Amino acid sequence: MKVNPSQTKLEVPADSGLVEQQILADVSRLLTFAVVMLLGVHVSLTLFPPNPVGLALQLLFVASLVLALNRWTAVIIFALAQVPLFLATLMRWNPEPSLDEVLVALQLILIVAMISRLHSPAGTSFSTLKTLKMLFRKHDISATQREQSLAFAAEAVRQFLISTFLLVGSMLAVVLLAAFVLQLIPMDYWSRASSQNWSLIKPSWFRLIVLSALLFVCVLFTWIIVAEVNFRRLSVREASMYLRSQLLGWLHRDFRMVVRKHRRKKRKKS
Amino acid sequence: MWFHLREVAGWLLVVAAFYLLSLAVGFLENPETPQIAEASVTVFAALGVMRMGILLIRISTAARIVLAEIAHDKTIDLDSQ
Repeated sequence: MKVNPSQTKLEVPADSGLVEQQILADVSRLLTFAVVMLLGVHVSLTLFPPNPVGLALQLLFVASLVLALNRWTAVIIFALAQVPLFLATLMRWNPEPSLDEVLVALQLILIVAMISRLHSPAGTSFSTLKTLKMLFRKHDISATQREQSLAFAAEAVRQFLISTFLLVGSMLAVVLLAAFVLQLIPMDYWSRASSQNWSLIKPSWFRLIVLSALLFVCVLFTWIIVAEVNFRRLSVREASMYLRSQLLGWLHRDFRMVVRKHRRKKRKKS
Repeated sequence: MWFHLREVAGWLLVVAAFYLLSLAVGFLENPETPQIAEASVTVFAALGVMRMGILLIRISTAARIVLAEIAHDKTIDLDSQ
């Protein structure tokens, strides 16, 4: 049986469930990207001053957001966000951040969470454009199918709004929890001058070490709890694989060394 | 039962590591005589103890998961016979 080449170009899955899933995923991805861009532009305008260097940094920030469609750019975004924060901290030490600063931090966390969402489904995000193009082309799709697609898209928007609301809610809960945990830290422990202000820890390099040590302990504690709770969700195969790899490490260190060397070589080649 | 005991021992080691970390932080209490070298050595010791504790917890957890599956399979075999 001959296949018409124009038919193969459409690539519309025969199963309507698959079409629905694809539309839901793609519309949700597009909306996520739109929200990331809106938040990103707002954050870049807030973070960087309106001078030539600031404008360049703003452009770089927005470009890194656009790149997030295809690449994991969360690290670049965090690094760029640190530049004005670092300079501001050098100029003035503010132990009690204002509401605007907290909002900027919250927006940055939301941006990274949404970029992570963009990369969570299999495949690249550019399939979104292809799918939309395919769905709304006149000769590709009938009027009934288009109506169905629009209904699916409306459902996708609804689902996106609910999931975004849940995401913002969970972020707020995390921020409030973190603020509560930070309040539990005995601040007067650090200064002998009966003051409860970290800014009075002098000299500044010692303050950096003290606060880093404190942060390190907090992060370590959280990491251990999260990692161990996650570890309990291993499947039987994963658990047995873990046991065997540990046993290999203890009994046959030489063999493990050979495997590591082989892996390193492979990584260099790739 | 043994695996549970090992897991408890692992958690005890983690708690001991956090105690060592609190000691290390205590070395930084006084800005006039900062004991940074002492704090660093204690942090390294604490990280070693913590690593051992986590290893013990993970091994006992993984072993329990595998043993539970083996026991489940045996029960199904006996039922089918």
